[in-house]
Amino acid sequence: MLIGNSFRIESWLVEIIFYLFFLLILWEGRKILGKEKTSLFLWGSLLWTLIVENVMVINGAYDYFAYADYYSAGGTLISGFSGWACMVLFVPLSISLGWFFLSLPAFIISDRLLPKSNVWLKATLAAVVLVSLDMLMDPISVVNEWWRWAVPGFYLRGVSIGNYIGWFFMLFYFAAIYERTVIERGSFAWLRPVEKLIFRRDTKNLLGDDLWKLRKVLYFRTIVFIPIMVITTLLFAAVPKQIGYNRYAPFNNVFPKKYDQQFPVSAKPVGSGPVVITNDDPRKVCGPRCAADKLGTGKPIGGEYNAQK
Amino acid sequence: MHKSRLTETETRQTLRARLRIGILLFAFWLVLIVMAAFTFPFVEHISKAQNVGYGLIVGLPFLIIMGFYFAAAFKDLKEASATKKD
Repeated sequence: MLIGNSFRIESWLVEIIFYLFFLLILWEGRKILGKEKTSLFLWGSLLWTLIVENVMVINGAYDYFAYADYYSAGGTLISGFSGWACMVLFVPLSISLGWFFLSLPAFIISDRLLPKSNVWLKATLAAVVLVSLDMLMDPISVVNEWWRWAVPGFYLRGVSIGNYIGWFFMLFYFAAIYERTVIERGSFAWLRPVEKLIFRRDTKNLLGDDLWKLRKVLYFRTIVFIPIMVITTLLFAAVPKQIGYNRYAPFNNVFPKKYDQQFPVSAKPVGSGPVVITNDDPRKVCGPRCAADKLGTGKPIGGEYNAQK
Repeated sequence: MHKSRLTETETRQTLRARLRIGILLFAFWLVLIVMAAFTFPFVEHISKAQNVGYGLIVGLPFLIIMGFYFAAAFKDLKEASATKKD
């Protein structure tokens, strides 16, 4: 949809692109890794991303519901439609598949460039590839409202720096888990005693394991690493947050954090003194709905965009 | 020739697939750059040209790594063709 001289990339178009790339990369991935290993990467990454993303949405960091206010039939909003074809709880399936189709090539690329390195070095390179791509994708998503940021923090081009740190550690840990479990068929020494209790065997060497046994170990490790990934991200994200606190995300997340409710007009954390971001403040996000309002082409349905009540 | 632990036997087919998966990822980046050129200016930007400039700067690590990857993938394919390994 054209607004002014800019093109709004709506959620349906994003989904078509994401599903198309997902199918193409799945196809090529199966040729490289084989059906079984690609399947493990896919289901492992879905488990990994859907849990993390849902926790983040429920916690009020961001949401995917901006397009719930857009799509209507016969002049009325389509009730219950989030704007995305398929949701897994509060996260569009296409978003998780998107993570898969970016992560799998990044993983394959890092394996080719650092064939003899250890898993952590490879995982770092894969994560750098992913973050470099995301640093372009996320600012596009913000102005097109594919997702809305609502978490306090340090923002760059409308995107929380914590997001990029999170993306880095998401693939850093997942690539390491996958390579150690599925490719090397090994284990993490610190996790082995726990696994011995759960699987009732030594998981040091998984070479003789069939796919079903391997799958269980991979999924278990994936779930165990989620809190580790979240804690690492929060620790690293705390640094830029302390350096510069310039929060200006849209404040209409459907799962507002207590901070949003307590200090809805504040641009600074508690103790730093509230600062009201006025409409003409350049720090304030002005997305497509905002632009539509200015041009008089229609008001957003379901509340003001960027409104700081 | 390059030996990877990801596949048991590296054939020309798998090497071609490796090249294509790189091309697909690069194609996705191109899609994003085109999107950046046509959509709204990013937050803190005043023009779409700034979007593209920003995309090129933040995409630099990606582009460099992809350059190395394509060079390696082409080299692997060339070597496999020389040994006629299908």
